[in-house]
Amino acid sequence: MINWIHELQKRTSLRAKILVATIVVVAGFTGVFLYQTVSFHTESALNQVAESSQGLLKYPMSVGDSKTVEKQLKDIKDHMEGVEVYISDFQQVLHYASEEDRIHTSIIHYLWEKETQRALADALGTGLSPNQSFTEIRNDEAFLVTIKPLLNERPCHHCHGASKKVLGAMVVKHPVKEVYASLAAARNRLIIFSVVEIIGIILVINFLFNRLVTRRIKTLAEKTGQVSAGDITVEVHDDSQDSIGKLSQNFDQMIRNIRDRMEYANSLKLGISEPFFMVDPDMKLTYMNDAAAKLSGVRSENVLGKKTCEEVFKSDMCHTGCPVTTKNAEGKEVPIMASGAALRDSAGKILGGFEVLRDISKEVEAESVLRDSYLKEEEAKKNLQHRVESLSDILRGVAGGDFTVKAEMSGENDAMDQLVQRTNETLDHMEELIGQTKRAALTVVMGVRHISEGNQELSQRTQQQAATVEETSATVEQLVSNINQNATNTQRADSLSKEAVAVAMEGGDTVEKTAQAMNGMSESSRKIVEMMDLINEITFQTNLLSINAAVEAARAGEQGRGFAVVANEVRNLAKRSSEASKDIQNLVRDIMDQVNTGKEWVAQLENGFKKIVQTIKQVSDALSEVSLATREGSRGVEQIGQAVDEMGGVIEHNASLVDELAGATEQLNEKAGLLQSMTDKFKLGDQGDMEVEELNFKKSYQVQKKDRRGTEPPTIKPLRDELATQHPIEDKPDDLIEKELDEGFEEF
Amino acid sequence: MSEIKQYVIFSLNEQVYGIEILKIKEVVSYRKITPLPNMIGFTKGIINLRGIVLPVFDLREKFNLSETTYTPFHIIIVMEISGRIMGVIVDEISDVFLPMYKPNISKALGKKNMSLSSCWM
Repeated sequence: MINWIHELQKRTSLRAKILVATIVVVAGFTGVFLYQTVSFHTESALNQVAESSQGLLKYPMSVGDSKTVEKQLKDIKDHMEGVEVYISDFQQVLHYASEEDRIHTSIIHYLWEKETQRALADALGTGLSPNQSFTEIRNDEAFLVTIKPLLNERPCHHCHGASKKVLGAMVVKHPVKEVYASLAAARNRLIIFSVVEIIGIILVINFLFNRLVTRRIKTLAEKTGQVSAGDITVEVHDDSQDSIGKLSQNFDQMIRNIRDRMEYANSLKLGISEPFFMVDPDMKLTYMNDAAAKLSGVRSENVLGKKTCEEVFKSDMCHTGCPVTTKNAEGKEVPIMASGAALRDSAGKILGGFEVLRDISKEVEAESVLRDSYLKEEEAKKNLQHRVESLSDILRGVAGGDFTVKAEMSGENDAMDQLVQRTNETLDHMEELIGQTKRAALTVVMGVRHISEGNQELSQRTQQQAATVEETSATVEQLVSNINQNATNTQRADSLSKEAVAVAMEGGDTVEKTAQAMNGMSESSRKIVEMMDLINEITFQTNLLSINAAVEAARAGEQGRGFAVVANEVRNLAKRSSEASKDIQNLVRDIMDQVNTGKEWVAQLENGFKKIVQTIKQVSDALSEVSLATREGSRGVEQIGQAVDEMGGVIEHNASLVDELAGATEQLNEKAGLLQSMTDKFKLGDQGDMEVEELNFKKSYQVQKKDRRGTEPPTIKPLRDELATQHPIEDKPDDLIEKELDEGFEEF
Repeated sequence: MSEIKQYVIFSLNEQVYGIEILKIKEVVSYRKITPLPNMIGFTKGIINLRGIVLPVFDLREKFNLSETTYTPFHIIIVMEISGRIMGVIVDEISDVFLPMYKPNISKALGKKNMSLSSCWM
């Protein structure tokens, strides 16, 4: 079935397919629309009839006005011919009816169709009105039955109570024969109009589609058919901007591109100047250029499409790409180089082939010339090889150390002769050089031997030096301890000198006090002298008084004799006191003289003490400086100790270096012996001046050695012993130290 | 009267002289002597002694002895000779000689180990 549809679809034209599709779509959509319209019309008309009769009865029933209901029903019967209205209770017993004789009978008798009866029972049970009307037909009479349930609504409760949900139902039977007739007429009209409309739409769509699409596509199909048949000169003129217009323009562009490609390929073909031809799969020639025609000596129009490659070129080049021969127009064999390839389409199918030929007769000629020259060269090479071998023999001898043989020249004065000459010169130079090397090697051997001896001596001396440095180190340590002792002593002397300063200052104070006391004594003596003057004066006056008294007593005569004795006694007293005072005065003068002398001494003493204090201070300062200097000296000596230790390390290092040097010298000695034995292998001519140089070397070395021996080896005095014999500073006797200090004072 | 004459012994330039005590009015210590104009020779000037103005003579000059500088410890002897009161400057009064018998001058002098070259006044 599907295959059949598919086949039909393939066979039928585009126009027919579009027509069928249009008919199906338009007829389908319009038919559904028409059916819907007709059925809706009919139903709405019938519903309208049912609603109108029901609306009339609703109000009187609700107020319980039976008479009005009956009257209304009667009116309905009178005015609306054929319409029957029944109102039943929930037991389907009629209470009201437009036909009065049918009251109190069952409504079932007046509903003919089973469907209608069931719908009434449902409506009474559920209280829902059926969603459609029912049609009953009997004896050519058609009725539309509408069932409406009467619900127990609030206005009905005063008569019927609220217990029941449905009170009953109203059934309206409406004669619809006329309604049906008018509906059928309207339907028929509508169908006729719709069919006409459908036909018109289909025709218009088909016309437009044919005009706008189908015809243009058909044209395009025809043109593409021409192109596929090989005609590429076609053109489609369609300048509209829709898809088909674009398709036509692209088609035009494609055709132009194809033409350009073909022209390009033709240009390539024509551009080949070498002999060139093309064949079809049967090896029949399809194209050949003028060069190929000239080579084969045929006219192209006579052979194209008629003769095969072998027939034209009489050669097996048609099957191979290697250099082959062909016969040219004069029937002569011509060497050619051919290269070809198959022509294929896009699917890989072979459409034919092409081949390019090249005349290589000139190359062949050049090759023969080249071969001749190669043979000549080979001969010259053999000759040269012979001469080179003879030279090589000589060089082999040289390599074995034999310089006595020399190469011979052939006398042709060519490059080889020059080489031989240069080789001979080189050998002469080498001979000379090796002679010098031998002499030098001998010298080196001697020198190395002497170095070895010297090195041993150096080793001994280094060891000696190491011992000396160790002793020096010990001595420096001793020196350090001595200096430290010195520093301690100096500090002690410093503190002692400070104490001495204090004592001297106390002495100075005492001297000052003494001087003051002496001054007091001097003052007192002066006062005594003054008092003595007074006493003298008194004595003098007393003496005078005694004289006067004696005078008066003498003048008094006998009466004054006793008085004269008294005066005499007084005068004696005065005289004695005068003498005593003179003695005292003398004594006091002596005292004063002594006090003055004492003052001078005290002054001198004071000066002396001041000088002592000053000097001791200077001594203290000097001792501080000495202490500082000693500390610095101690540090310096410690550094010296470190330096000596370092020197010891350096000397040890030196010793190891000397050992290494000895080893190296030993190796050097071996190498020098090796060198000598190696140079001895060479056989040379004269070796006259070698001995002379050796002698010279020996002499110079001996002179040098003698000079070294001439200097005394450094005598090493153990410092420690010297120091051990000396007393340390603190071992000096104290008086010696004092003496030294005193001497030091004098220098200040 | 058994005249036992007393003599005052004085010295001048280390030479001892004597004078009868009754000729002496008074001895005073050397004091400032007011010089008078036109004084010649040994006259030193005048002094006021308790209202009595008397001349003072320099015996050193009179006896041609060496000059000396006078101090308060020199002595002016006020004497009355021939009814004239005058003062003479001496170095020292050493003694009052009181003979209990006839004066033996030489003995007295000899005691002093002095030559009797002096004159009596």
